[in-house]
Amino acid sequence: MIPKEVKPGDLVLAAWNAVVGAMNSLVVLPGRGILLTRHPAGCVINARSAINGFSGAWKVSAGTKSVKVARGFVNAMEPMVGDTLLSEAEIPYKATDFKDGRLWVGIKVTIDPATGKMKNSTQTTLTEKDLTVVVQSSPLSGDATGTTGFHPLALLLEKPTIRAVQIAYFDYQHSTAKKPTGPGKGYRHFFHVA
Amino acid sequence: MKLALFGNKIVADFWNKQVLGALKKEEASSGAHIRVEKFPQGQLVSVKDSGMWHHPWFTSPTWDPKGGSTGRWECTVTPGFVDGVDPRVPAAEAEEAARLEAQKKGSGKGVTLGLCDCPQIPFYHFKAVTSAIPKFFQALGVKDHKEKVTINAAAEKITWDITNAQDTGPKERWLQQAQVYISKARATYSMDATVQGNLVMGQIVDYTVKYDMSSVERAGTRTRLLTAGEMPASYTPSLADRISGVYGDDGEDRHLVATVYFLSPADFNPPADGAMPAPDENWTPYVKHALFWNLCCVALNLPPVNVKQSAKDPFLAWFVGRYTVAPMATEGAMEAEMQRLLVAAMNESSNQGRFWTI
Repeated sequence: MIPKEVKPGDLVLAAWNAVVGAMNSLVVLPGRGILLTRHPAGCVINARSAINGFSGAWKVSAGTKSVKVARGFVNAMEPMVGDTLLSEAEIPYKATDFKDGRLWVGIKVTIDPATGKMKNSTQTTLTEKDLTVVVQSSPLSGDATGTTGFHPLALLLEKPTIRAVQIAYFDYQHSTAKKPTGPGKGYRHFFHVA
Repeated sequence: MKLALFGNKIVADFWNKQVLGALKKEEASSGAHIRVEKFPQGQLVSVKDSGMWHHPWFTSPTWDPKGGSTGRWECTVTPGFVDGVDPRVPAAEAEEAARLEAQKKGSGKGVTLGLCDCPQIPFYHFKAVTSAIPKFFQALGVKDHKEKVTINAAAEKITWDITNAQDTGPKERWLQQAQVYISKARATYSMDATVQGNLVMGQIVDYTVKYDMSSVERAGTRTRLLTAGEMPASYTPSLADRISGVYGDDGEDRHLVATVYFLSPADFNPPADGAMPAPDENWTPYVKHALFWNLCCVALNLPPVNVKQSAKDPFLAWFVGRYTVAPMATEGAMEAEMQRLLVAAMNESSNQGRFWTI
């Protein structure tokens, strides 16, 4: 982009136009991941640092016989796996659990059909069983009455090697809404980003 | 910098060392994790994305020299999910089916590829962008706003020879786009009303709720990831449409994933007939994402099928008193008009679904 050097006798205007073109080509333009701030003294380039991995909630790591799920919260409560807090537990699965090579890891919420809310929703102790993380071969709750809700956290793929594809990244607030009468009446579960 | 003159001439050595030397110092060089692309319109500085975490739906265009007959642009999309399921990719399924048939490894029918299968998704259609050019591309020369440099030679008292002067300014570039979007089929519904005169009770309005599942039968319930020059706009019938008897939409809920812009090389000249050829490997792709997180979608796909509501159900029928005493023909015309307006009013809402991020 820098013009060629001139020799005595060269045309000035051609050289001048080449310099104007070069000056235009040297303007710094911000591309992806760049924040550019122009000042009278020059421009400051800020680059977003390279991120090697996302460190959000519910990070799922797949093993050959179990999955590990990093800490996440629903209504500010950490789910249980059996009698153990999620972040301290591993969730086992079997090869036969896969259906069409797929298996979902997700939050399972059980509500009181009378109130539409989690049972004992104020409890945050190790006895809390209404908020758990499970593996199942469908992303749906499979409960026509709506007393249990399922929210997928990751999809486990069986082939070519077992790996987890992350679905959820955020903590959630859980709420329910009563479905109108008709097929599948009961509660619809919503997981909103907290 | 003081201009070095010798008589009425600029000293060449001054020009080469001082002017060009100053320009060379302004050239950007790429450091760690930084990429510098040089254009006549400026130096584009970007962060290299190798090794970076990619959000769901992250779209990466690539040129496949073996795609199609002469090569083509394709893209990969980091798996994203709608209701916990990755979308099907019909274009990639068609390619895979054709490949299997070509290799005589089967008919290829029934091939299902989702985003988790990491398919290469071909772009078949492009749209030339000739208006509302994003400023980013204006800065790269898509629309020529270059003002010619004018020099008042007399004021500078320098003898300029303007013969054979050449315009060395940046050339205009051209822009095309392809869009990646998701589409989820659902039921549509409409309501029909029948107004009947009844001498005792007045007008009786019967109405029927009609559900149309044809888009679901055609496309299935699983979300699809599609490409086009421009994502089709959702059609929502206006009041005028509804009064004219058009009620339903097309039964598809769509959400834009990304727009992939293709910037022409500097020496590209569009054909005189205006028909822009598909971008080749000399065009530079840029991606503008519109979707960054996974989604939930809600639309009603389990309707009560074609349930007719009538006067037998007192909660759903409307009874309207006769509003005038008039000859039978006039009454009939008035009832028909009343029926038309009622239908338009009842079809004000649609079954359009909603997406939200999770």
